[in-house]
Amino acid sequence: MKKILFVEDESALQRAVSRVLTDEGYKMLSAMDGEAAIAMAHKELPDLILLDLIIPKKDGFAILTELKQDKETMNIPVIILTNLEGNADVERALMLGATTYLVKINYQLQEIVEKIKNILDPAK
Amino acid sequence: MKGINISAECRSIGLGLWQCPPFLFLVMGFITITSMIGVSLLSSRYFQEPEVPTIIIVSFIATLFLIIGNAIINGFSKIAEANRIKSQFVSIISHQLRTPVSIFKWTLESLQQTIKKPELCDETNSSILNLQDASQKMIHLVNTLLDVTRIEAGTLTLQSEDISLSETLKKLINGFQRYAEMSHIALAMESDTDIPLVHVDRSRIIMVMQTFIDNAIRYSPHTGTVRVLLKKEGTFIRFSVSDTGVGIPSLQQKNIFHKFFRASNIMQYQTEGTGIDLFISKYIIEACRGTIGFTSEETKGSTFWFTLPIKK
Repeated sequence: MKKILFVEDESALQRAVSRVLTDEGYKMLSAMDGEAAIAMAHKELPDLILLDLIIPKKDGFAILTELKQDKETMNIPVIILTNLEGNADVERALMLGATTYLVKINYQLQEIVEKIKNILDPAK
Repeated sequence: MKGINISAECRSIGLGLWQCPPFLFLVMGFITITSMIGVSLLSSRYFQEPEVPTIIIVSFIATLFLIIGNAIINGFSKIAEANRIKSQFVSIISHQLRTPVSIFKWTLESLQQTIKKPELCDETNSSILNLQDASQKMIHLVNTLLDVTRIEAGTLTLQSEDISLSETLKKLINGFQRYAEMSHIALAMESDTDIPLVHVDRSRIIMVMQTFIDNAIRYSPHTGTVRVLLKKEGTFIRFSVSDTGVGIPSLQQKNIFHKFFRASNIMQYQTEGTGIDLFISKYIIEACRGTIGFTSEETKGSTFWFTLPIKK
């Protein structure tokens, strides 16, 4: 069973996304701040990380940089899931190694699930 | 797009007449004309060597110009800064509104699935509570926007009625219990038994009490206690909220009630927050003829309080 780490400080969003992805057959891990995110990424080595940019203790860009510089975690695909919409933010995230940049408010949950399935189970 | 009305801008940010560029330009023009006329009349008529007084007066006028010119530049800079802050504020509020809107969007989508499965009744209730919290957040943000706009325009009107602070507070504390539990905070209320009525704007006073309690819970990063006190003090009633949270650094304490201010030590704990709520709270309490204040020590905690006059 593939593992997905969801880094997001709003618990309501954690619930909604976890419910939908668990139904799809994935194992969900959650982190509500930057330090927990890094710790969990190292401990569980998930198959995919969903990363918010504005979170307590360490911001998304710092986390992305750290993950991509560490041998253990550098190959885990990261999807940025945020409400920040500036071009500068998108470019910066992609340059730091994010696979995709999605603005939460523009997507239905099902659309995000499709994108995740394309990355984790591309054959289907 | 029309040009900016500089005089109106000056008034809206509280610049006095002697800091307002158009007025200063007029003064400078007046000084130029009178000094030119004065120098030419006086020096040729009264002195053998007209160059000497001319040079003295011209130097004096030039210095005056430098001073006034500086004041004009300062005036423009203040207007530009005020406009920048306004734009930033609009941008912050718009961004913060996205969080509860996202919660609505995805929770509703998730609800559509859980409603089909009766065994997921708890999940469904949980989703509905999340939606209620999110809609409260949105209402609060929109009200903040409206209140700030009205305070700036001087059109904020309060609708006063007789309020029992103890009744209102009890309901408020009940509403906060869920948030307090989730944050591992013990929320306790202590009140004198016979709290007299006050005559104030009900929804606005609720907003101030909510701001104090919300901040106390929000800025206590680990477990802790938040104590809410309501007591009679002479002809006033005193409301205070004490927490064991991060406190406010002493150098920044003087800025707490300023617009948009958020202390540097809380940014790493809480990404939400507009820095406006205490500014509005101070305005409301003072408009109700009360007083507002706080004491705080960094890493130990804070106590925020206000007093309101008892209804006669």
